[in-house]
Amino acid sequence: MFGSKNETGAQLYDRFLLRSALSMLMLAVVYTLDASRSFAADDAASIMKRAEGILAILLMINLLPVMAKLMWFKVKRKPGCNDPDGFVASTFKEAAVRGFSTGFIAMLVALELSKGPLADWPATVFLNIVLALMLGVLSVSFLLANRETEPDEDFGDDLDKETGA
Amino acid sequence: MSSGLDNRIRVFRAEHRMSQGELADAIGVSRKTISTIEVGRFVPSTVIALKLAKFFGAPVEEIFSLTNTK
Repeated sequence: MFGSKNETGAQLYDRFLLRSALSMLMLAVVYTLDASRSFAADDAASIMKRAEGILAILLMINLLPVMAKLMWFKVKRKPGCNDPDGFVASTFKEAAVRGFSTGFIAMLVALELSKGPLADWPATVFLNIVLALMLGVLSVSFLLANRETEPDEDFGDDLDKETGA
Repeated sequence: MSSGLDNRIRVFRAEHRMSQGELADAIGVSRKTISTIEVGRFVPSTVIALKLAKFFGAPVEEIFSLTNTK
């Protein structure tokens, strides 16, 4: 999670994507709180607003240092820091497709609801819900796909047998 | 009938006495990419397959092969 001094470009890029997903999850919570605030009592709404502010600061703390380091790596042209072929980048793309699909469907549902039973709801509530769903699905599906971390597998006895050594 | 991708990266790695992390650094990817390719969880891009072949000095088809599954 906190990169090492000898971090390679590819490792940094993976860490950047992981941090991006965490930030998106935080942003999804911010949008959910924002949508809920429209229906909450004044006291609760003010607590929610404060929570949104704290989450926004945490989001910056979570993402900006890694982003700055990645930009520095790119300026120095370190190999692997723009690795679109790796496993983590690939799962991020898949998660982005899921997030977009969810957002599109949620938008269609919101459009129908805004014409019918929920016509009196403000448009910002629908937008906040759609954005929260989109970012939530993207981040959760990405984090689930990357939750398993196998230890670094060294060459061992089983391989000696396999290679006939 | 669908095809899966089998690979012999572990064998080549053992022959070169390398860990996953060392191989990952050598071809400019992350260790997770190598470990997920090895266990067949991730199908690598042509670029990664060619980088592996170049690094091991072997043809791609010696490292990767199709496995037919019903």
